[in-house]
Amino acid sequence: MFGTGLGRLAAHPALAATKRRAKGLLLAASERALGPQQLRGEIDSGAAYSLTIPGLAGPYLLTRGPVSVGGWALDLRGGRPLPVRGRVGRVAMAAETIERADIQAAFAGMADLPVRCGLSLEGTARQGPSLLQVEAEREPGDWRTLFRGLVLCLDSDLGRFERGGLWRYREWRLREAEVAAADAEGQRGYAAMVGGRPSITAIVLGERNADATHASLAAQTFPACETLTVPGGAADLDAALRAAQGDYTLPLAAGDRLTPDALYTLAAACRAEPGLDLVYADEEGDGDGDDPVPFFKPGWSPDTLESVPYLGSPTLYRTAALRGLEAPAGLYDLALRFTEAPRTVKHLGRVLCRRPTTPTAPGETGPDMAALAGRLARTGRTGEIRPIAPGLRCYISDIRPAEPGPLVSVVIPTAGRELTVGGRRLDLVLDCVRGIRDRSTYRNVEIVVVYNPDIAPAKLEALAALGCRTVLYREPAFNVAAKLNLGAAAATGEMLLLLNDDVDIISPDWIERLLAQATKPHVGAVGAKLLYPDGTVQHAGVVALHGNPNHVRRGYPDGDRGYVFAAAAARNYGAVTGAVMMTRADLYSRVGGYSEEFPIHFNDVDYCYKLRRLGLHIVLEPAARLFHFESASRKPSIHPEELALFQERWPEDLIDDPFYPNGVFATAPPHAEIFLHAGTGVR
Amino acid sequence: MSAAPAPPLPLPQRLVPTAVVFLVRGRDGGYAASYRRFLDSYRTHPAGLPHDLVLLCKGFADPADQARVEADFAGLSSRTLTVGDEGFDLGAYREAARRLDHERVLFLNGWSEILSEDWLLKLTLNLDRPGIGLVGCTGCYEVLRIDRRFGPFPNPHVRSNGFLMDRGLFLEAIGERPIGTKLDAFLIESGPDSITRRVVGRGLGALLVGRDGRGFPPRLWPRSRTFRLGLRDNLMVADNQTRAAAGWSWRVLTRVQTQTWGRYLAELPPAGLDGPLA
Repeated sequence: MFGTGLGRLAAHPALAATKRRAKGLLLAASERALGPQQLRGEIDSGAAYSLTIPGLAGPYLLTRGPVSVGGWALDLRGGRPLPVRGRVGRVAMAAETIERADIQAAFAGMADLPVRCGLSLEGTARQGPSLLQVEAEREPGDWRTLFRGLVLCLDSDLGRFERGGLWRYREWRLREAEVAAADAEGQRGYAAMVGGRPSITAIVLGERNADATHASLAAQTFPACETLTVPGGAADLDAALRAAQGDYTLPLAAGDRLTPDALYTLAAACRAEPGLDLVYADEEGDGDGDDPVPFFKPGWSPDTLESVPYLGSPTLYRTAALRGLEAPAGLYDLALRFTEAPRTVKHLGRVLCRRPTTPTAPGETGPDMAALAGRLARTGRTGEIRPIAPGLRCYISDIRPAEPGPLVSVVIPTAGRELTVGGRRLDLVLDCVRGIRDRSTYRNVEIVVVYNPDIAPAKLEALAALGCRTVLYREPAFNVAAKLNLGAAAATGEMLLLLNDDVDIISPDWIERLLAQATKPHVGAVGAKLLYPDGTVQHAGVVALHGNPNHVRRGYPDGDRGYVFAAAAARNYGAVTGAVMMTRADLYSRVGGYSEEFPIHFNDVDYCYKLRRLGLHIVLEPAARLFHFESASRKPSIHPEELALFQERWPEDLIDDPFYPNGVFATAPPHAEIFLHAGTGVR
Repeated sequence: MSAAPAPPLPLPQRLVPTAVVFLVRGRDGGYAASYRRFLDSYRTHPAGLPHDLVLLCKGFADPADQARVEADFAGLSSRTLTVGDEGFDLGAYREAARRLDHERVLFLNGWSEILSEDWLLKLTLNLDRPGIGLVGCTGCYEVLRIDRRFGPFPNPHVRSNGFLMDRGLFLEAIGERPIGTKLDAFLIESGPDSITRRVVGRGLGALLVGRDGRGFPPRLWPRSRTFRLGLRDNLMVADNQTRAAAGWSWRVLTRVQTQTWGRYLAELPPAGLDGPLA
C-alpha cells in the first residue's frame, strides 16, 4: 500500500508550495523523531534532573509558539533545587521554581527537599527553527547543559481558514475547556429540558481521593440522578450495581475526576442513540510531569479488551442490561462480562475524565488476570494469562488449541522468484513452505500454491514433494487477488491462511496464535506482526489516514510496545495486511473473496472492510511473528487508479479511522505518536 | 442488542397547533422515491407531538401523478395544498403559510428523511425556550461566493429544510420579496437579509437542534455534528445535500467542511455570533 503522504494539506493548493516545504521539514524531522517527551539524567553523582518538554519528539520540538519545560533539577546531597535557565533562540525563558509535593515525596529518605523543588520554564518560539537550551547551575557560575534541541515553530496561516498544525496537549485541553465553559449554561438548560433523562447513577468505588471524585460529580452540568458511595471498593460493586436506579450506570474508581461536561456528553449520546448499551470516552492520567497524559482510545475493540483493560473511565452501562450479570469482581471483570453478550457500544472521542494513573503505569495485575481467566472459561477456551512484563496491565493469553484443531489451508500465490537476503540466497516459495513444514508447530495444515505458467518444473516437483497442492494461474495479467481467489477455491480447510511467499517464520506457534483469534465468532480476519530483515517493524496493523491506508508504526524496533500497548498484544484494527492473513473459508466465500478490481494493492484492506461491513472485527496478533521481505520479489509501484477506486468504494470508512483517530495521532507517517491536529472536524 | 426506546422527554406545557409541511415537486427527478423514503421515515420515527401533516404539491404536469402522491399520504396527511411551480421551495412555503392557520409551521422539502424519534418534540421544546424564534435541523456559516451581496464570513444561517418557527414570524421574516431565481432563494436563506438575520434582528435566537435534542446556539454550531461535520451522527433530518456527503472522499469533505465552517472547526467563535443569545 502506498499513501500519498500529502494528507490534509493538499486541500489548499494555493499554498501548496509553502506547505510542501513545511511538510518536508516535518517529514524529514519526523523520520528521526522517535523519542520520549521526558529526559532524565545525572548531572554528576550528587545531582540529577528530569525534564518534561511537551511536544518534544526526539531531538526536536514542534510548536505553534509557546515552549514550556517542566520537571526538576536537584542537588540531592544538598537537598535543594538547582537554579535553571532556558533560552529559545536568543530569548531567555521565564524561569521559576514551583511546588511539587510529589517530587518531594518521591525523594523522601534520599534527600530532604523543600516542597518548591519543581522547575518551570516558559518561553515563545518565533516562526521557523530555533535552538532550545536548558541549563542548570551546579555551583555558582558552573552552568551545565541539560538539553539542547531544535524547536520548529509552524504557527497558523497554513490556510486561510485552517489554523492547522500541531498543538500541544496543554493547548488542546485549554481549547476543549474553553468550549465546555462557553457551553455550560446551555448544557444545564439541556438537562432541565430533557428532565434529566436519560438518568445516570454514579458509583464511586473506594475511599482514597473519593472526595475529588465527588467534587467532580457535584460540578456536572448534567447532574447524576444519584451517587452511590462504595467505600469497600470492588468487593461491593455488585451490590451497588443492583441498587442503581438510573437509566444508565457509571462506575468510577475513587480518584477519577470527571470534566464538568462528562455526564452531559454521555447523556446526550444516549439520547441521540437510544439503543446504546455501553458508552465510553477518552481519559487523561496524572503522569510524572506537569501535564496529564492523554489516553486516546480506539473505537469498540472487543479483542483489545482481552489484552488491555482499555475502556477505563468513564464507561457508562445501560442499567437494565446489567441486571442479568453475575457478580463482577471489579471494573475490568464487569467490562468483560458485560461485553460477552452482543452489545451496542459507542466510543466518544472526548477526554471526559482525569485519573490518578495512566494505563501504562505499573499496577496490580492479579485481579485483571483473574478476570481474563474467567473470560476464557466462560467462552470455552483454556490457557494461561500472563502480563507482557511484571506489573504492566497488558496481557497475553496463551490459549491451548483444540486438538486436532481445524484444517488450515495455507494459500500462497507465487511468481517462483529467488532473492538474496542478508547474503543468503532464498527460493521464496520453497523456503516459505519448508518453514511451514519444518518450523511451525501446528500440523493440521494443507498448503495450496498458486503458480504462474513460467515456473520451473523442478520447483513444482519440489513443492509436490513438500506435500503442496499446486494450482496454475493462467491469466497473463498480474492479479494477486485473482490468484488468491483461485487458491481459496481449491482449498478444503475450514480456515484460510493467505500468505505471501516472501515471508519467513519467526514464532513457531504463529498458526496457533492466529487461530486463537480467528476462531472467535466475532472475528473476521487476523494478521501477524511482520518484521523487516533488520528486525524493525514492517506491519503492526493498517490504519486509514485521511483517505489512504498505511501501516502504523512502520520502522519501529521489534520490542516497541506501541501507543498504550498497541503493538504488544492482540489489538483490533480496521485492517491487516494480506501478506499474512487468517480468515474463515466460509466468510471468504460469503464476501466474494478478494475483489479482483484491486489486482495489486488495497485488496487486503478492501477484504477487511467487507468483513467489517458484516459487523466482524479485525485483529492484529503480535505474538504471531514473521519476517517479510515486502515486495522484494517485485518492483514496487503505485497504481493511482486502484487508489481512486478504493477511495470511491469506501468513502466514509476512510474519513477517519476509529482505531486510529486521525485528529489526535500522527498521519505522515502514522507512527502513533500524539499529534493533535487542529480542527479537521471529523471527531 | 438492545432496541430500547429513549426515556420519554417531558411534554411542553402548552401544545401549540403545528403544521408539518412536506413539499413534493412533480418536476423533480426521482420525486417518487424521495417522498416514499420520507414516508417510511415518518412512519418509523414518531414525532413525539400531535401535529397536522400537510402535503404541499407543486410542479405536477399530470394531475394523476399528484393524485398518486396524495393517495400514498392518505390517512397521514390532514390536507393537501397545491401551489404554482414558481418561487422554488421558499416561495411554496410562503404560499402554504398564507393559507394555513396553525400557530407554528415546520417545513420539510421533498428530499427529507427523518432520522430520529421525537423529532417534532425536540424541535418544539427548543423553540419553546424563552427568546428563541427559529430552530432548524441544519445550518452553517458558509458564505456563497456567487454574488458579492453574500458575506462576510462567518454567516450563520439556518438552512431552509427542516426548520420550525411561528407562522406569523415566518411570514414577516420572508416578507414579500420576489423569489424568481435561485439567487433570490439563496439570498433569503443565507444573504445579508436572510430569514435567520431577520429573526435575530427582532431580538430572537436561532438554534440548530440535533438528534440528541440539544439546541445549539450559533457559536456552537461547529460542535453540533450535523451539517457538513464529520460523519453527521447527530443529524436529525437528512436531505439530498447531507446524503451527498456520504460519498465524499476525505479530501473533498475537508475542503467542504472548511468552506462551510472555516477556522471555527478548531476555534471557538466570538461570543457575539450568538446574537441575542450571547
